[in-house]
Amino acid sequence: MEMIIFASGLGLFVYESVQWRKSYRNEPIAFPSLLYLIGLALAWLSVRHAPIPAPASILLPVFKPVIDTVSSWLG
Amino acid sequence: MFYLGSAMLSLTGLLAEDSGQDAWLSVLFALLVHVLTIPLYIALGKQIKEPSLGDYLTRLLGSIGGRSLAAVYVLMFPFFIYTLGMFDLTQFINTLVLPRTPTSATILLFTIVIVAGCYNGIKTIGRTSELLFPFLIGLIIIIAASLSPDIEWKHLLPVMDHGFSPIVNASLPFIGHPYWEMSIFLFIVPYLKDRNKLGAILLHSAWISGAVFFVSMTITLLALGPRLSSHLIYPAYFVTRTISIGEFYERFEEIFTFAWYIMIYYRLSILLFVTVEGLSYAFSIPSKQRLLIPLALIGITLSKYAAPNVIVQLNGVHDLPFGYSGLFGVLLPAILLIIGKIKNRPA
Repeated sequence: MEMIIFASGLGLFVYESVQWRKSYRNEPIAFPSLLYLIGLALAWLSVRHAPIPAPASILLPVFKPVIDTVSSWLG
Repeated sequence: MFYLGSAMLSLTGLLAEDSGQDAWLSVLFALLVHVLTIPLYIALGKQIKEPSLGDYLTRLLGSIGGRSLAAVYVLMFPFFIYTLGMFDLTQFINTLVLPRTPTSATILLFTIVIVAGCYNGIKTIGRTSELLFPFLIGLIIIIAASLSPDIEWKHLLPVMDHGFSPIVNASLPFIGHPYWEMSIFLFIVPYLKDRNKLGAILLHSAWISGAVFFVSMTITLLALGPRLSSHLIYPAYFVTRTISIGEFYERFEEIFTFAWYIMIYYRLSILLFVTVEGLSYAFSIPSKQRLLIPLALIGITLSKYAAPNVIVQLNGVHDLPFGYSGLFGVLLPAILLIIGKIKNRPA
């Protein structure tokens, strides 16, 4: 299943690149491509069953002091 | 629909765990706090005269400041909630509905529908929700009425046995998730035909969602009791399984599941739509739809790994929303409002 997701993503990335050449030539390509590459990298890691850290485990320690402060202010 | 999406299923048990038979009072308290914060959003909505929130942020914070804030906000708040919401959905489906289906397949199929909705735009999402909402309310009324033979009023007694403090504590996660997630709608304000109606829209959505939460919570408590409700992961779902009249009027859990799929679909669609809106502004992408598929692709994998298991996710839903949503849903809009007031002040 993960391989299907990766292959579909890759196919859509190629399609998007062709579309850009045809239709969106005057629009930036770098950011959508970067998003595709991040998405494909994550999908590939999922195919390989590599350990992917949960978004919460990255975000929440960074925000924990802020969250605690806001919680104490509000409640 | 946005409010009802995720919280209706996952928060019922947590509320019952924290405040027992008084969980229905926690719902009312959370609704009251939510109504008190609505003026903040109305005031901010009135400040937004620009055709998009991005233009408003540029006026307030300058191009770089506005774009940076929009990018950080949408990735940290709506997109983060999107991955957690999708995780919530897949856990529910894989635990109770389709246990042998791979998680990735569930996520992929749901993502395709969400991307299709977002591709058609917020107007299409809004119109279809208008069409389906009365139908869903009808289903909830039928479920509530069907549970009435199982009601035992003694399950709500004694009222406020441990005082007011557990009621307030139990309501905190509920205030954060979903009510203080309302700041996400600031990205949709520019799409309103008449922006003066924002206050009425927010108030109507508050009381309607509050009424549904209240009915759902109270009927679960009345039918199952606080003890059993607090021990179940999805008591609002479980209670519908108990409906059985004459051994043919039953299997209402499938109707509940169907209603919940529709509600969470709108929640996830709005979250993804707002993420696309914010990022397209932040990185100057005129054709917003181009960001939908790559973001959905990232979302598919991140949703799968959003939490190690459903218990960790429920603990997160319990501990985090108040502070996290308080930061992005109340503090940030309040700061924007103050900056806007200072900038608009006549010299």
